[in-house]
Amino acid sequence: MQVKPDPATTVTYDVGQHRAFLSTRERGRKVLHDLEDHIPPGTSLLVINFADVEAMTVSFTDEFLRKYYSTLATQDDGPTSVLVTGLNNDTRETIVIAFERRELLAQERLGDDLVLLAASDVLSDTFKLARMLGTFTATTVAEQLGISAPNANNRLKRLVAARALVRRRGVAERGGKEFTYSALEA
Amino acid sequence: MLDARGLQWVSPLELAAIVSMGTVAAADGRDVHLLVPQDPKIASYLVRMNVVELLKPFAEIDGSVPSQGRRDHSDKLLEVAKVTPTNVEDISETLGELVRTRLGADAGRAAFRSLGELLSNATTHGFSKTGAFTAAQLYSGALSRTPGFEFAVCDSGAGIQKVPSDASNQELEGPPALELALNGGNRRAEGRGHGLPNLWRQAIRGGNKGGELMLRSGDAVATAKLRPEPTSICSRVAEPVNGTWAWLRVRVP
Repeated sequence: MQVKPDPATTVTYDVGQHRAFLSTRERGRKVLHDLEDHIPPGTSLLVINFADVEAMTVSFTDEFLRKYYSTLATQDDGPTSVLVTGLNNDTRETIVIAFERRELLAQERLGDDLVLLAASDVLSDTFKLARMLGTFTATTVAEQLGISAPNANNRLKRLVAARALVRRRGVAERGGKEFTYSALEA
Repeated sequence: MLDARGLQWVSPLELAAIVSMGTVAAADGRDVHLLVPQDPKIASYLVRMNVVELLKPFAEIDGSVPSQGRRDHSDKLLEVAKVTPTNVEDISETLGELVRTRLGADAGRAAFRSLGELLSNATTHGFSKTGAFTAAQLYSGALSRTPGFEFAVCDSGAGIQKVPSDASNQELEGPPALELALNGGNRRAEGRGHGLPNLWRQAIRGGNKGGELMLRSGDAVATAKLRPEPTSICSRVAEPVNGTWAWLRVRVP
């Protein structure tokens, strides 16, 4: 079963409230600080909305969104799930360029679907399976994809780092600790 | 001595460069003279594009300067303007609106990303107390038969003169430094150095028919043809410039 976003703890941040054309690294730093100031503790879902952004440079995107996702990848606190939305072809490509260099990825809400940006085919396939499964363990993913458990764990780790999946610690059937993973409901 | 008497054609690059050179010379304590173009149309264009107005406070203007009633053409040009860290976003946004309106959404957005990076570079890596100068013009193609958008920014900062090379572990200078900078330098591993190399990618997107990028820094010049299979030529020139000059032409459908 997929995780349903809780409206009470969902925060939407409109990047285009600042400007429709975003160019400098300095602006990127300001938007990043503003975003961080708008995320209260306990946020379950952060929606970063680019609907009012016409275009942005790679330098701005690197300083803002790339740095935000880099920070997310190295810490456990912060929003449980994060997604970007409202992208046009140009802003989408700009994010891909900025993220590919750092091997980062982001979850995008595209219509009624959730997809990955800047991800390899392998990770995209894993993400699709995860969304189909809803809530699952790494063992299930390994079995369904015919890969080793460590390989499945590595893939899921990257999806969790991008806040595209939620990881919870549980107890395995035969005892011991086991993580369960859940995908977000679109 | 800014001798513009023989000018027959002026693009945003020459306009921004004239003002930048004059401003740097004045800041160095040198006397500045502008010899006005003999062609009255060119002289009028220099006035229209703010060149005379920006030089006047510190330069002798030698020659006949036509007076003119100015019409608002902000939908197709940007007069020469000083770019600073304070106003760079306003200028970027003005140009972004211009290219989006006149080139269409896809081509306009791609053009914005290119000029936005160049303006941003001019106020960071290229920052100096004399500032940078920019100008832009949209061409209908009535005369040249090649409609397009031209943009230039000339800064007087440190320039792209020393770029550390991963391959040789040395600092490159002149044309090799410019060539490496065009390809992202060695800062790509840090996630930096996005700006210039991505101009290649952007210029061929959005229905653009490609374009050209010219970079001049110190005694080096690079000209890049922005096409699906881009090419670039880097060479040395006799007359060095202060800082970096960038000129971008985007061809449009």
